[in-house]
Amino acid sequence: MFALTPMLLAVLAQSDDPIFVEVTGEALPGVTTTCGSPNKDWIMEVNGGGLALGDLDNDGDIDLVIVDGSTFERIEAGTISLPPRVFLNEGDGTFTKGGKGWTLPAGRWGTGAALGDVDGDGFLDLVVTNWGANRLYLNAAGQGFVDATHECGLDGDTWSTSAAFLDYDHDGHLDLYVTGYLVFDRKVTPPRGTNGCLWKGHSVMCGPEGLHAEGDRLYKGDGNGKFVDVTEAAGISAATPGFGLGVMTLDADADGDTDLYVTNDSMPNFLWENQGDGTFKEVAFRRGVGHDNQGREQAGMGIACADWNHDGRPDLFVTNFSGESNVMYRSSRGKSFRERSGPMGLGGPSLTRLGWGTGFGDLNLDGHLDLFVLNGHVYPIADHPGTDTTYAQADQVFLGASDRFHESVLAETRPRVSRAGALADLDRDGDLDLVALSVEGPVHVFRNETPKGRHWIAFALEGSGANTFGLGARVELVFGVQHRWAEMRTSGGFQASVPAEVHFGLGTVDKLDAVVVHWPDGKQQRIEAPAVDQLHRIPEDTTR
Amino acid sequence: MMFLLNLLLAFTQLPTLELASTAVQEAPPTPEVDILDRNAADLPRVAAETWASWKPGEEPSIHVLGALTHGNEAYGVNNYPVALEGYWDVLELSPGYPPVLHQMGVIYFRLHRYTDAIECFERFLLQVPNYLTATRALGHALYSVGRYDHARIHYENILRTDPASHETRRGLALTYSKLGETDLSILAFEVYLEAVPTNTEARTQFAEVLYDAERIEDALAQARQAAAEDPFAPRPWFITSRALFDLGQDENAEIAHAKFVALNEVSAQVRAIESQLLVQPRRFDLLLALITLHKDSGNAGGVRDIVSRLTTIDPGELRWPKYGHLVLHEMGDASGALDAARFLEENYPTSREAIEHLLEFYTEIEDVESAQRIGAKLDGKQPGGTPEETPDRDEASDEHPGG
Repeated sequence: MFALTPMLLAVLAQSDDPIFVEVTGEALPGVTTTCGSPNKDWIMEVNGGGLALGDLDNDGDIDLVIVDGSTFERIEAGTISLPPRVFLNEGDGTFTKGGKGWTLPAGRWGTGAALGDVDGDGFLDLVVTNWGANRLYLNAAGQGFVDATHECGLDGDTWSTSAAFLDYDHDGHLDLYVTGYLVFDRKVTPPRGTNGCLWKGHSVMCGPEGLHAEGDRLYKGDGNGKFVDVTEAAGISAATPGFGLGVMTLDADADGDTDLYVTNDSMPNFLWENQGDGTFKEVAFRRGVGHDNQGREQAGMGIACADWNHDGRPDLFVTNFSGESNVMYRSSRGKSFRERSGPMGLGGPSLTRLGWGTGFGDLNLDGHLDLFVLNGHVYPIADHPGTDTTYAQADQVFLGASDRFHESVLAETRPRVSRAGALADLDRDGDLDLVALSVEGPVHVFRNETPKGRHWIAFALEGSGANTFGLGARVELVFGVQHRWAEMRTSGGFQASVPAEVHFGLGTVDKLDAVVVHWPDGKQQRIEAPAVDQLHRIPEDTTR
Repeated sequence: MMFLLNLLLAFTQLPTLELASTAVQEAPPTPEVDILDRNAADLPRVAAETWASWKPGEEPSIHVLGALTHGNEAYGVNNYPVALEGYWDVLELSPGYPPVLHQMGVIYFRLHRYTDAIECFERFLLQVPNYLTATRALGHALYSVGRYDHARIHYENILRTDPASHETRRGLALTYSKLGETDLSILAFEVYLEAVPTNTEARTQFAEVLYDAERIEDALAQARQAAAEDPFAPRPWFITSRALFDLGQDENAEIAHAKFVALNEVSAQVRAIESQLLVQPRRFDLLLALITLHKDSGNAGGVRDIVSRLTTIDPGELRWPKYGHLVLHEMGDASGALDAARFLEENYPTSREAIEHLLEFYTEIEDVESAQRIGAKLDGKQPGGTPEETPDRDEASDEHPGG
């Protein structure tokens, strides 16, 4: 295989050729989702469904769970709701619907998903959030899911959006954070056309302003598929409830425990800083990640999180409403962040778009982290004159360089009304592919078309305890004087779950000095000279 | 974006748009299509420089006067949708007529319809190239949709021609900050604030840029000055609090944070109402709600501003200045209440309701002389008292809430 020169790599990195090509027709034909009626008369109908990417059968490739919404007609007619669907990867990035074992009972109206091994058996289990009770499906040794919702402790009949697994108390068992959006009752919540539910002079669906925020929940896992609500005990109820839409696990202060970042619609976002004693403290304002840099609360949706500037602390990117800038919070002095979307080339291109799913990843394998942003408005009437935006919108890719991003083309597709999305190497060719949902309609699969010749490396962890995927561990890559950091997580921001793998693009770097795994219990494990262009599975060394 | 709206106030009137010159014409019929459902891109097109011979200040053609009057009168009372109706008709009759293109650009900008504003200003500049105020307005509109590179070009072009264009420099300072040109942004803000030191909003923006540049102490100083100059603005407190946290002064930072939260809550409510008023300017219930918001937060200036707007869009209606006077008096804003009283005295000299109201007021504040003067009117001694007879007329007319 020929190697590209650094100069050629630099030229290619600036190319405006699309990063992805849509392969839905061959990878996932005919799979659609539903979320209410096209008119979007109610806020319940605008957020779309969710997705989860992970190796469900431990065969080495990434499988897919699609979470479907519903319709009011279906619910009111008593018709069985639309269940989450499992699609197994054939190993080449194409999917087939999972067999009988993977058939899942439905909740009322599905929203998001989270994957994590809650019972420590080495297989990914699934939580699906709902408008209605959330549901837990335990993985039966890779043969299918078993509905374990009954008495699992994730009770309640609310509108949950996103969920994230973490081990906040380092007891080895996965815990769960669930974002609550708002209290929705079609008999009480005002419909579109109600006086005061206006946007740019147009009558639109009501909310979230004027409705009651639901509040988030934190559940402590016992390692056997049971959870206890510790929202109050852990201090999560101390904050005024927000219209929660997205959640991300991260070690924001690099102190070794897992913190949580939550995007709230039309309200300041939350940063729950883990106090190390089983409680959290909300510090978003103090750390500079609650508002934009002018003190304005925004309509936070999606979250991307990665150590973009290689300082050992994560950076955050948040998608927002049209007319608002998406924001990039870069780690700064102490434990704080600075909002730098404008100077980094991310603010201006977002002003006329409404962003949802997003994620960091080195999409073109040039050694710099890039971003994808999925866009689409909530109001069909956005197509009317004078809104400065549209209902269907182009999705975006921002290619990273040394200090800013360059907007590029995601794929040669028509504008869509996009929602949740997630990156994963679906065809195991070393680059990151994309699955993207629309508010309703086809699920889209995009294959990364990055030319061969650039290097990469990826890692999956095998924890020795019940946290079998090592969620919360940090992976440090060392080459020369350079260090790259990534956190092991499955939280994917807005209504999405990502594979428990970390992926690094390396550009022309073809030799690494070492990889160091910082396990959640504080132990470090160093592996010398890992080979590039491979996915490494690292079992926890229990002898140290 | 309020600062941009304020900037545009400086050039909303082109010389040919004098209200007085067209005030006698009949209003055109209401259009069949809601004017807000039209894009500026659908306006009739004309070749570039069709209007090359047009000069600012020249009289409009007689056949557009009716529509122009309709637009101007509505514009004069901030009724932008109706103003657009008139102006659209002007451009149907006289495609590309420059002053109306400019005025429509201003209105679209105020309505936050930046794409339409860009369309209008670009078309205007096709007819009248290098017209600086339009170029600057175009820069503001481009900035508002995130086209910072384009905005920068226009701002820099203006400053090459007119280095003293302060508002252009401020726009450029902001644009530089969005483009990551922090040093240039700071320099531009310094020049601007030296020329216009009283612009609190610009000082706040300067503080934000300094903060982002990690000049924490400098940012704090600017934010504190801005907070002192405008005690109801939340953003200076946002920066103050963030800076104090960074400096480890947590206790003071928490106080500043609480101040920010309280002010920001009111500000958010005000913004929400103002966005409705943009397209429904005669929603008196909303304007009264704004008065209540400002009153409850102790913002007498805010109350005066809304009363002023009420008297502008509903001139001659006694209840607005009377209500404004009551509110200011209730708030303990003595000078504001006196000013409002003088406004009433001048503008409603024969209104028994106004006179009785004022008599009660002057009596309550024990202003015997004024009470006697007003009482005399009630007694019929000066039944037709005109504003010209009021000793302090000039002062009152300059400072009344509706001024």
